[in-house]
Amino acid sequence: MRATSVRPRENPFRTERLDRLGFRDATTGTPAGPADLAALVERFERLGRRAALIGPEGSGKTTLLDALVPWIAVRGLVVRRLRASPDGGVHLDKMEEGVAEAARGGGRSEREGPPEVGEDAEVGEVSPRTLLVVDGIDRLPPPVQGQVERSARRAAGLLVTAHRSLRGRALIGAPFSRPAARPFSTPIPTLIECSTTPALLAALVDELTAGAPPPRPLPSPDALHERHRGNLRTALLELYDLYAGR
Amino acid sequence: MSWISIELDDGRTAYRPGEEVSGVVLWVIDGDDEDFGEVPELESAEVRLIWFTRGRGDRDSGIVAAEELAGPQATDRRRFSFPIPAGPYSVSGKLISLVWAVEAVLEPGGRAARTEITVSPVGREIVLYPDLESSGGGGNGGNGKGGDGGNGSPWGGAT
Repeated sequence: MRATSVRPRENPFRTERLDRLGFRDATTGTPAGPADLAALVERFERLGRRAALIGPEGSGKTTLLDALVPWIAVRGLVVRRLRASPDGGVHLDKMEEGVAEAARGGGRSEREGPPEVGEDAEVGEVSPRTLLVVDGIDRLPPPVQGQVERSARRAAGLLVTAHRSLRGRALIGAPFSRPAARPFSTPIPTLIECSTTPALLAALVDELTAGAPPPRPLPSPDALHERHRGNLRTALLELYDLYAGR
Repeated sequence: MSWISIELDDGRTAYRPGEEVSGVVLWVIDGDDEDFGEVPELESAEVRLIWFTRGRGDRDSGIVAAEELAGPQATDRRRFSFPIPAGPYSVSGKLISLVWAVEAVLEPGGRAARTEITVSPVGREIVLYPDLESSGGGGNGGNGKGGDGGNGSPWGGAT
């Protein structure tokens, strides 16, 4: 009997493979290389170490954030990373590997004097050597957004992701029905706007399947991209289900 | 060039609960590895019996047994053995596969090798759906090869 479905451990769209996909150029599908990341770090510095990665759900913001943070943190910064969950919860992620040494005080000059350290309940300890990273800042509850704003004033830098531009208008609003406590008073410049295209989706699928014929016909890249409104993660999970016979 | 490898006794890859998985871990660590530059002395080597999930959604894993290999040298060969526990079995549904493996890790540097095995009372992975029963005829079969496309592209025209 010929298999009509693929086992999870062989499914080309299994989570571990999706998690390994790096950030790509939306039009060419080319993986972001060191030169691309270095250029973004330079732009982040020019923006005063305060910037946002903007884009809709599934457009690669978190993937790019994961790639970018080590490049910024390598300058001796301690990463404090918050992640907003879809239900409005807040997760304080563990510190990035490779910067834990800096967190223990390694490499600090005696002339710098004691750092100004402050702490907010959800954000935790932040000092002038902290890179504050917030994944999904527009999904954080308003009180936590306020804590982020306070903490960001003490931090060495603020790098966030959000679904829409944070330039020159209130941060809190559209995604939430709950009343806004108070907006982010200082705009956050956009570092890059992330987007996807059917061509990028097609390139990822071709890469993941290595061109092998699927157990069933796949939808066209255009139709799949449109159905998922450009969300590549959910589009690729639909293909997981198709391969799994779900 | 540095490398690390796991060889299971008698080339076995399937085990029943209560049996023993045994073999050797072999490695060669170059003092000046082309990928890692100058390599410091090995501090530790460990071999583990593990399981993990593959599939859709969050991943899960567990270390069932671990053996520290004392005094690892740059070039070394060590025997190991672990009793296979009563479960869980190697299994595939639609959402996840539970996969067993023997894993060896050298530190510093995190060099690792992993060999997948099957743990099952019937000597093969338990498959929960009939249409998953013969996916390419082997443990590491292809991704649905043998489909109707045959033109080197996975894309059809369906919407």
